[in-house]
Amino acid sequence: MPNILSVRNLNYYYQDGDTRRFILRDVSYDFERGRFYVILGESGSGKTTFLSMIAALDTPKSGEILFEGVDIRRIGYENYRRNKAGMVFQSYNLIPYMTAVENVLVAMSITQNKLPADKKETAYNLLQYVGIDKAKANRTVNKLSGGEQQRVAIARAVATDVDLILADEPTGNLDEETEAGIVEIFKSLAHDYNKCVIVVTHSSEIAAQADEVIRLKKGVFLNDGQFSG
Amino acid sequence: MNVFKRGLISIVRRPGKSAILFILILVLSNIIAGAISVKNALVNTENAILEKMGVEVTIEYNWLDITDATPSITPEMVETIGQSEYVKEYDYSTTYYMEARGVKNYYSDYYYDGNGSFTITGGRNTTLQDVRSGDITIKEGRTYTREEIESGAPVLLISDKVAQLNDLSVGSSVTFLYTLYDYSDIVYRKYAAEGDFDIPVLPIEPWEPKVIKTFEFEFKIIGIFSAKPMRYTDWNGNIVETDSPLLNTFYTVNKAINACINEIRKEAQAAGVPDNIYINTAAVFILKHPDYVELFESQNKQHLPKGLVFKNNAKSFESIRTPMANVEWIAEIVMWVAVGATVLIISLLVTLFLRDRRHEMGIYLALGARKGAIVTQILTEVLVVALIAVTLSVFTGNLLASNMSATMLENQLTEEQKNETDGGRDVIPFSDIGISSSKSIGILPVPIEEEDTGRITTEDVMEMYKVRLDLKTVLFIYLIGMGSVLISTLVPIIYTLRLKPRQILM
Ligand SMILES: Nc1ncnc2c1ncn2[C@@H]1O[C@H](COP(=O)(O)OP(=O)(O)OP(=O)(O)O)[C@@H](O)[C@H]1O
Ligand SMILES: [Mg+2]
Repeated sequence: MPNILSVRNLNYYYQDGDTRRFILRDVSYDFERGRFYVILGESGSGKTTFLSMIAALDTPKSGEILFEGVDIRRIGYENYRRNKAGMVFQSYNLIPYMTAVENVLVAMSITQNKLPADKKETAYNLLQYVGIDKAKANRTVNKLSGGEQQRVAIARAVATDVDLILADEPTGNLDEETEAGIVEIFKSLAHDYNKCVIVVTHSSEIAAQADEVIRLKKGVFLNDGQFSG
Repeated sequence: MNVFKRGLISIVRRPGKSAILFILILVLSNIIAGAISVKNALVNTENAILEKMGVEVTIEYNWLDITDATPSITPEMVETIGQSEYVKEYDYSTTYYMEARGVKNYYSDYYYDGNGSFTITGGRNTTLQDVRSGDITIKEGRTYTREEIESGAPVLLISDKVAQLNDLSVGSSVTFLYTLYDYSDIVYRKYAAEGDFDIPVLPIEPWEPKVIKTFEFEFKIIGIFSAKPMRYTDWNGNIVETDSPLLNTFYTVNKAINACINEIRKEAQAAGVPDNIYINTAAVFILKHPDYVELFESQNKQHLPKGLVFKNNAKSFESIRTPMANVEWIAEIVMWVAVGATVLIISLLVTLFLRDRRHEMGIYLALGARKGAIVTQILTEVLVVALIAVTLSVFTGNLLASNMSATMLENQLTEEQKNETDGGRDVIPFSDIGISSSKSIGILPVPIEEEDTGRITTEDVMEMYKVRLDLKTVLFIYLIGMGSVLISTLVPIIYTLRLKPRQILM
């Protein structure tokens, strides 16, 4: 069985007059199910750029991204986003005037993946799983704390029953205690639900929890190997 | 949760923004609706007036160009010209002069006993030209019917004054008399003048010409009319009112007069004497539109013998059309400015409105929503609000427009009429133009200034001017209102959706 996600010779650059300023240079990597990956790197090293490529929110200049061996361009970016990958943003990106459960339901109504018949029940259960009780689930999200909002965002990312969870500095705006809670969810998703979780961060605390840490430096991946738990 | 439900949630959960959008669209589409309503009302009114009045073309003698060979206007000539595609309807009237047995003429200052002579004016339409122009009004009885026109029934309408003087009423009969003489036996005494030629002066034996036949034509009175007095300015500059010369006119159908004349002519021909009958035919053509005047006249010039010309009253429409055109022009400008402003303001507003939706659209894109679905959702939100606002504005705009524009139009009309009087513009009153050749036969002074009976007054226009909601107006308001909202919503949405989600979200 092919890896859930393989990146081959990925390049990304900004054209600066005549010169190309490379952000990612020939990046290749394989990601597997059931593992929790952390990509570490300094600010401006290209972590978000990389993540937005594999989330199909942006397109690489060259190279390919394979999902279960199929180029995501063949899957179609829209289809890929809808059915294959769930994204968690640093700034949550929830729809502010909707309730937590409505936010989750929006994603569930967009995906074409087969979901349990009772979507609402599933959404509440998922929110329960990430630590949002029913009372909070029925609140419009702008009345939730940052940590709570990020939990809702994680619930939304997994609600579509995708196997690939991507997160860009998901705890960047949160305190340490909250961060620990969120990291636990990611770990659980990888280990209990066999999902491939890729988290971009510059927090070494999170990195310490990862199954695999990748360092991004000067546009290339440096594999630190496995943190032996 | 489908796109429509999402759209609805968005409207309801953000009441402030929805209200601002609603009020703005309402205000702007009110202006559009008002301007469109006014414009349509003006066009409708103008058409109604043109429909009602029609532009009239008559055939007249050109006194400068007249020769012995100039024939009189014949019914055939009128029928031919009447076939023109520019003619809505036409009418002609044969006028003759006959004695009526035992009926006295009416004169305001004197009358005499014996048989009076009367002008008999024929018609071809159930509406008498002189009724149309307001010179006479049917008081009792009726006008003639289509059947009577077709058959040439000997029916008669007489004036109330003549009826009263002669004890006549609807249902009475009037007998016209005509005596055909043979003058050939009359020998004139010839005075030998100092020159070489003789001048016949007085008849010698027999003194009277020989009577060939005395014709009697019996007509039945079906209606009594009253005639509007004439006003003119006398030598001292005083306005004097006198009886209408039409008081001694009898109205009948053309064919009835022609039947009498044909009978006389036949007899004269048989007897081999000249008939000496000169009938007068006046014709009027009502055109479908005032703009057709020149086309009509050049098309039909060929049918007019030398000495006859067309005359029209197109000019008299100017006093109505100018102020209407002014208001129409203002309404048109207001409309397009409003449309332009609406598109602009709504675009700006919707762009602003969509700025905080931009992020949301990015989220939908990141979640893999189809662009079509996102467009549908946002359009649903804006268009639902716009639809309610535009629907409301159809009524409120109409209400505003009818009050404001009516005042505007009335002012314009009053202004224009004042200018006219001041500037002494040459406006032909309608009453001068219809078939009223009989008037010139009267012995009364030619009127200098007549009251403008047939002219359209400000009141007439205002009565016809109604800002109404017809289907066309409503559809146009929706088209413009919703169209501008639609376009101004689509543009910023498409602009946003063109972006990659990363550009929006990260
Ligand atoms: N539109 C752009 N034009 C030019 N350069 C850009 C543009 N967007 C980003 N960059 C540059 O690309 C590089 C990588 O940016 P990226 O957002 O991937 O960094 P990052 O590793 O996520 O940093 P951070 O930890 O601060 O989020 C940065 O040096 C940034 O300045
Ligand atoms: Mg970043």
